[in-house]
Amino acid sequence: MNVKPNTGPRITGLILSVSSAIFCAVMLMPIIALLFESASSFFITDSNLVDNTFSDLADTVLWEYVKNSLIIVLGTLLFACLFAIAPAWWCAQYEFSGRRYLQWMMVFPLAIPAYISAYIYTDALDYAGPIQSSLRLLFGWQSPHDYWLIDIRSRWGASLMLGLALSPYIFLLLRNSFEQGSSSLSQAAQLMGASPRKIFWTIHLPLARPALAIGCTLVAMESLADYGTVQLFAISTLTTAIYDSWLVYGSLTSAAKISCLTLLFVISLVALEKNSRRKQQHFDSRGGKSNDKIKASKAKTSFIWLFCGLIFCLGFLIPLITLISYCVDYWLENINTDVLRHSQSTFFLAITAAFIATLLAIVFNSQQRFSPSTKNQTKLSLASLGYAIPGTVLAIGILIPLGQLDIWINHFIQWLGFEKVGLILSGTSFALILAFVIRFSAISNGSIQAAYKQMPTNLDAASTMLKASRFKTFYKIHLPIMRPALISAFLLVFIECVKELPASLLLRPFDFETLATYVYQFASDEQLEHAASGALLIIIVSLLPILLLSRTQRMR
Amino acid sequence: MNSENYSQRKPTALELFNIQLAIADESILQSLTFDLEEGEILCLLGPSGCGKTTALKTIAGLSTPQSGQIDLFGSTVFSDASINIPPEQRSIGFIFQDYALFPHMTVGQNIAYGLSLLNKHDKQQRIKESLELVELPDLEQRYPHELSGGQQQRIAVARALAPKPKLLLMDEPFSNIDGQVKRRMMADLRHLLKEHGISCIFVTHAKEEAFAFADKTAVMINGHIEQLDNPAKVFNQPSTVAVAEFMESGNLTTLKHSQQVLDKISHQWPRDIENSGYWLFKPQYLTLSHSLQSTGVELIDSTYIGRGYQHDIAIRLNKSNNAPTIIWKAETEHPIDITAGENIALEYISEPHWLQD
Repeated sequence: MNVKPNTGPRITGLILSVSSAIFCAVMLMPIIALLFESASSFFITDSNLVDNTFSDLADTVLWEYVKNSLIIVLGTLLFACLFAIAPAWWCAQYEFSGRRYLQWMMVFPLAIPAYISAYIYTDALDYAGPIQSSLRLLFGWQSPHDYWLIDIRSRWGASLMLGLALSPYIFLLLRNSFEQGSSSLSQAAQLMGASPRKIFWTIHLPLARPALAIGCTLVAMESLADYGTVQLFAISTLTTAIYDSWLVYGSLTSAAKISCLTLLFVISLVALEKNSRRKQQHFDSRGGKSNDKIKASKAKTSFIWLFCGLIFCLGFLIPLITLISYCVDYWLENINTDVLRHSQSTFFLAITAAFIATLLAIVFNSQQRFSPSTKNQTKLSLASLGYAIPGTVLAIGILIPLGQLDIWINHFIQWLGFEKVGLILSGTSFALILAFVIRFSAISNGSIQAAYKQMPTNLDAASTMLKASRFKTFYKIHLPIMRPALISAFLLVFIECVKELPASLLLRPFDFETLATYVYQFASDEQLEHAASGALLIIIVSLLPILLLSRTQRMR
Repeated sequence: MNSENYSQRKPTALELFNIQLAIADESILQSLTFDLEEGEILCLLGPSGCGKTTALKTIAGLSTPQSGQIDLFGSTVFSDASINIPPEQRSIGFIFQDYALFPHMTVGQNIAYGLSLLNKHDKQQRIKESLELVELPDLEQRYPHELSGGQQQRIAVARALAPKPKLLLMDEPFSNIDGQVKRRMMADLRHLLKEHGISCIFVTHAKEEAFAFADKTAVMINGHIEQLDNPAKVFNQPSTVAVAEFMESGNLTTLKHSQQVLDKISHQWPRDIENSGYWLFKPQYLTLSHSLQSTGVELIDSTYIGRGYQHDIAIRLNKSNNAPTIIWKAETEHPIDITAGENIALEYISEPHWLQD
């Protein structure tokens, strides 16, 4: 009769604990490696071995790079807010013809990587490009000295490109927040005589502030992490400095130090976001959920469509049409086996990484569900850490330990009397998959976590009361209910892996391209025309989550 | 309990002894002790946050107490740290407040979920029986979201009863059902439980549900049981002030005030109680009549409450005009011919109930 519960699952529990400890170590590895590598240089006393790359950089151009990074982050935020706040408000608050379409059109720019837009607009605004040519033709100007046109290859140009591509983050979060804000609040304000303008500034915007802060943090992190656009525009920032330190100067230490500096910015951003999230609970009103939209006048409707249509054209339609026309013009170069080969290998990598990331998310979240503890919660938070690390920084953080491991493995194998095996960790797809899993586990984790949060815990208790084991509860109740979340977790990670550029550039094995690096190589050689089919493929894959998102929202 | 009484008692379905449960230093259940006879329906009644749902989950094995003992039909299912039978082995049916029907399964699959030991034929038979039991024989292929709230509740009952549990636990089973339907469902379910002799504990914060559904009511306050008795006794003769206040049994007056109050009421009873304590005056035993003299008792307002009229009256505690007042409630069957602000002569036509502090 002396039955203690959970004797059975104890072994499973042990396996889970050990595996999650390993997982945590792997998640933390890049950051620890970066700190270690940065600190190690202080202990080298032999002056011949001292690597001066970082101090040289610090003495000369590093602060210029920091300034560039900060200006681009701020500029991107400015443009993204400009492109997102008003449309989010209109879509949430007004009813006008075509609103259903417009609210998804505003998300489409997310599918176009900023470096592709950057390339296309540089091309279009070039001296020989269609815009300058037609201006000259129209006004009879002879040389560039006769007129002034914005120089797209500048920090502001880069900010504009990034702002266009990233504004949907803010748009989505704000629209949701505006729609959730109870209409009884604005009705109360209206009855007290407030004008719509006053209601927006005094009720809705303050209530949406946490969502705005989260959106801005996302945009800031993405623009800080950007490598493709700034490199294309030849603007030196922290990310390009990391890249150059390693690939041009061959100094891993210097790359690690700049990475740590970049992480410092990331940490400040995350701290800011955490702070805003704490306030969100305070703001979270559960009042009347019904959202009665106001009918917009004809003039207002036209203005909304004009403003939003312009953003849609600039951020999505023009780049897309340009790519299609590249494809048509250079169809011979675009239809080749390279694209097929690279998409095949990219999809293989992305599927592997997405599978691992989703599996890990299921294991750790169900563990937390069955035996909730702060220890498990910490693990889950660790799993989300990777997303905050810029791709370039993460790549360096992975190269350091994997390179060292490779050296040890080769020594060991030689000691055993075999031939060297080469860089089996840092020089193969393993490094890339590891980077993808670390960076994008946050996405699969978030998706599964949200699904579990929505699932009442009483379902588990009901299952237990009906004599079901934990495994049966997981298999028969949890898995079927979260199937949509599983699919979206897998797809989202898959898509991010396909799009990922900076880490792929640094970590891809010799003579190996992902779709993104393949397209980017052509873009930086000013030959995107020849890889337009690859770019289109990336865009089509990126559109998937948007379609998925719109479908699930419509179903609700 | 004397031996004579004991021999007449039915066998015990459940015994809780000295259950202690704390979460993060906050005590939720404090020496919780009670028992339940076979076939009896017990109501755990108490304000929200008093620990009644935790008590239910502790019996089910979904929460683990720090100490105490739980016996189920004569065998110990929990005893301090040495015995803790997992919930799935306790043979208990549980109905959740939100019913917790599995949303991705049909009604039939929901009911079959707890019947994995039966073969296909018996399983189908049991599903049919269970649905007939709750008088919804045609809903087997439906999904929970296609059912009304009342139907969902009945399916939850069918699912909980299908494995033939020895004890049924229900967590606020009627809170999501409104008025008219609720009364009929309570009557139906009570009839069903009685007919099949199923022992049951249910949790609620609404005393009307306890009156309509339970054989016995245990009033729980701050994690322990203040009084366990039949519903009428708990209401009319509360054993503590906390119970009287929660049950809204009537007007409570401290001994300190009672001398002044008693002076207003032209009735005689022994006043020589020396201990500290409270008098409980039931509203329906107060009679009101118009008085031309200043009595220090005034009518504030009268409202119609369906079965009669309720009157708020202010009783001034001494002669001066700005003396502190206490507010009492009185109930009459017919309207009274007194307007607000007028003086009242009070009379109490019964013995007030004495509550030890």
